[in-house]
Parts: sequence; structure tokens; C-alpha cells
Amino acid sequence: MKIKLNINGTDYESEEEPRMLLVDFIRDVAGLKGTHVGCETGSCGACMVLLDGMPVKSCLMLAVQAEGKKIITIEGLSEKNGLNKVQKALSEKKALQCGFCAAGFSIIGTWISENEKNIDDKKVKEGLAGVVCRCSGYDTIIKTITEVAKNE
Amino acid sequence: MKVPPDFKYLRTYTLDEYYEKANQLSLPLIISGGTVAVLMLKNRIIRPEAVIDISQIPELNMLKIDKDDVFIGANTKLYKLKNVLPNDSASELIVKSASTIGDIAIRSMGSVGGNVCLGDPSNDLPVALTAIDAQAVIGKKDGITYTPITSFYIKPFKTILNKGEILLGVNYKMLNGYRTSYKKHFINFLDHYVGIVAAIAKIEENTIKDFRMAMAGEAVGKPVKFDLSEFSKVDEIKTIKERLFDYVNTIHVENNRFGTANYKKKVLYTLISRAIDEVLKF
Ligand SMILES: Cc1cc2nc3c(=O)[nH]c(=O)nc-3n(C[C@H](O)[C@H](O)[C@H](O)COP(=O)(O)OP(=O)(O)OC[C@H]3O[C@@H](n4cnc5c(N)ncnc54)[C@H](O)[C@@H]3O)c2cc1C
Ligand code: FES
Ligand code: FES
Repeated sequence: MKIKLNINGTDYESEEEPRMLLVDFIRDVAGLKGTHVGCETGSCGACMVLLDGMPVKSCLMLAVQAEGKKIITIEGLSEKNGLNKVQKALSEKKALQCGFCAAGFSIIGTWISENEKNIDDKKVKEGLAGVVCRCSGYDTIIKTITEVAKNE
Repeated sequence: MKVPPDFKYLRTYTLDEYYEKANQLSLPLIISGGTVAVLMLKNRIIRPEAVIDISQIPELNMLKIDKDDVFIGANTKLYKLKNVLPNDSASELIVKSASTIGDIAIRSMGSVGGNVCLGDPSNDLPVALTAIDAQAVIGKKDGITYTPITSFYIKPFKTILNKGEILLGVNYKMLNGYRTSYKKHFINFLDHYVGIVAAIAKIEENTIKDFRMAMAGEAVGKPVKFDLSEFSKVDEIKTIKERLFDYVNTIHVENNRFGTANYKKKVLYTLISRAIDEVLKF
């Protein structure tokens, strides 16, 4: 069936089977490889994207469910003159190591900083609960995102 | 890479369209948010002939408040509950329960209907809804029926919904001036909860006027309900706790990969105790 999605402002239309997952559409049809596939069970957040402004796990969604919606991937967070505030801070503070979890933390970190009010450590930790990092120990990630979100 | 089996995908825009399609097919699967349905498809636990997407049916996306009556449409996303429900105590208990579900991405995809209809004893909303005596509003081709949530579950993963039927939403009466408590204990593998306890109580002039509690979780199975009528001659918290502990001792709890029966019962005693201390302290 024909699936039409808008990803990072670009329209994509492709003839695909209804069983295609959203993450596979993003990676294989749109060619945006920054969205990763980790656990495939909704636990690790490596596949996180924004769907009509809300964070979702694209490994738990059929591409056809997202028909007509606006999707932002980690590539779409970047602004004209480079990385956005959260991405820049994560990079400058060396909060990440291998970077496999970068899509998850960048997407959810940006969502928290733009949507949550009265930011504190607890709120940030709750927000980040759906993203797993196997390298870093979380401490710098939490501090970095809290700092950016407080300054928003 | 886990890939679902092949299926037909049918998007429905009206309830009539849903009833027509669901009654024609031998093995359809409803999908709302898909957080569980897609997982079941990927793991090939189910191989439906067709997946019926109900997310665009307007009646299932409604919230209706009529005097003290609240109806939450089945497609309502879990993250929305805290912003749209009224300020009464029954709604507060639902919001407490919903806010413990998964993480923000799961709550922005997952729906009330998906949480209520799976019948997994680890699901949160059924426990809160049982405690406040909510009803399941069930739609079928020839009309609507209202069933107490307590009668909606037959056993774990089995509800009373028949082929061609659909959960339209849940319905409950607002409660004012109550205290609420929601407790659960997570077992850190396979996303299972050993026990979940929801409690709501009204205390006036040092007397318990109303007390309702529900529990579920892997140790308990489908949600069970208690209310003050079972403690008619009892106004001592200690006795209420003892009666609930006695109940826990009568249920058959299995030794399995989630823990020993003894451990699971101790978890339940603790959750009950903490919830009671929160809602019944004078
Ligand atoms: C990582 C992770 C963590 C989770 N944590 C929790 C948790 O802490 N607590 C918890 O309770 N759940 C949890 N869940 C389970 C799940 O996300 C929620 O239960 C969610 O509310 C399901 O909603 P959905 O719209 O995604 O359901 P779907 O996946 O669309 O549907 C689930 C089931 O309900 C049926 N269904 C859906 N809507 C209807 C309807 N209107 N009428 C009849 N049948 C219907 C479907 O056919 C399917 O069998 C978790 C899931 C994941 C992946
Ligand atoms: S790959 Fe989607 S949550 Fe892990
Ligand atoms: S930096 Fe390696 S998984 Fe997070």
C-alpha cells in the first residue's frame, strides 16, 4: 500500500507492505540512519523520534500508523547553522561515548527542554527513563540536559 | 530484525465501518496506539488475518463530563489524562496510575483502551478503575452495554469482549474529598509487576466514611476489589490491614521466574500497608 509521511519537512511517498515498521521506513526508505534499532521492544529508546511533536518509539509503530503525520528525527533537530542546543551540549560536555543512544537522548532532551516547566533533576530523570545508555553511567547526560532545559 | 507476519491493514473512520469489517473477518486484531499490538505481531504471538486501526474513530477520542459522570474514550492517549480529567479524587487516582506507565514515549503512544483491553495483570489502569467502581462501555453492532470493570476480566489476558465488539471507553462517577494512593512493585525483567495496589478513602470526623481498594499484578491475577462494606464492624486500620493480609494468604501465588510465592506475598503486604497508611491515617 502507498505510505505517505513527512519527515524533517520532506514528503516521502512509497509503496510498502503494511507490516513495515516506522523505524524501517525512516532508515531504509528515507535513508535517515541516525535513528537506531536496539532492543526492538520499546525499552531502549534508540529508535525515538517526534511524531506530531510527541516522543514515540518508532520500533513499536507501523509506518502506516504514521500516515499524514509530521516526524522529526535526530537529523531534523539540527538547525541551519549546526546542532541544536541539546545536541551541542551533549557533544561539548562529552556526555556520550559510543553514541548509539544519541538519537534517544537528543530527541527526548529537546522535547523536555521545550515542553516541561519548572525543570529539576527529578523531572529530567523521569523524562529520560525510556532511554538506555550502555556506556556512560547517565550522570553527565542528566546534568547536561537539566542545564540546557533550565536555560530554555 | 523482527518483522511482523503479513496482514491486511484496514483503517476505519466510523464505528459502523468497524462493526462491518470486524464481523466479516475471522481473525482481526484491533490496533489503537500499537505499543503492545505491534510487539505481539513482531514476536509472532498473533498472526491476524487483518489489523483494524481504530485510531481515527471520533467517538473513541472523546472525553465527556456530564455533572458527576465522566466518560473517557478508548483512544485517549495516556499522557493526556493529567491535562484533561477533572480535579476530583477518582480522576486523581486514574492520573496517578497512568503517570506510572512506561515512559513518556510509551504514554504518548499508548491508549486507555489498549491498557484496559489487553487483560495483562501488570496493566495499571484496570486497578485504579476497579478501585473507583468504573464501568467498561462496550460497543457492538446492535447497541452499547455497560459492565463493571470487575466483571470485564475473565482471567489473565481474557476479557468478556466478543468478536465484533469494541471498548468504546470507560465511565465513572467523580468522587470528592477522598485521599488516594497508588503503589506498585516492578520486577526488573519482562516489564512485570509483582503487585499493584490502588486505594481511595474518605475520612470525616475521625471516621472512615468510605474505603475502596483494588489489587492486581502477577501475584494476584485479574483485578480484585474490596470496600468498607466488607469491614462493616471494623474501624481500626490494624484490623483492615489484617483482613487484607488474610485475603492475600488465601490466594494461590506461584513460585516462578518472577519470584517465590513467599516473596510475592511479602511484596503485597508491603504495598497494602503503605497504601492504607497513606489513605487512612488520621
Ligand atoms: C516498554 C514498555 C513499557 C510498558 N509499561 C507499562 C506499564 O508500566 N504499565 C502498563 O499498564 N502497561 C505498560 N505497557 C503496555 C502498554 O504500552 C500500555 O498498556 C498501553 O496503554 C497500550 O495501549 P495501546 O494503544 O498502545 O494498545 P494497542 O497495542 O493498540 O492494543 C493493546 C491490546 O488491546 C486491544 N485493544 C486496543 N484498543 C481496544 C479497544 N478500544 N477495544 C478492544 N480492544 C482494544 C488490542 O487489540 C490489543 O490486543 C508498556 C509497554 C511497553 C512497550
Ligand atoms: S529499538 Fe525501539 S525502543 Fe529499543
Ligand atoms: S554512549 Fe554508548 S550507549 Fe550511550
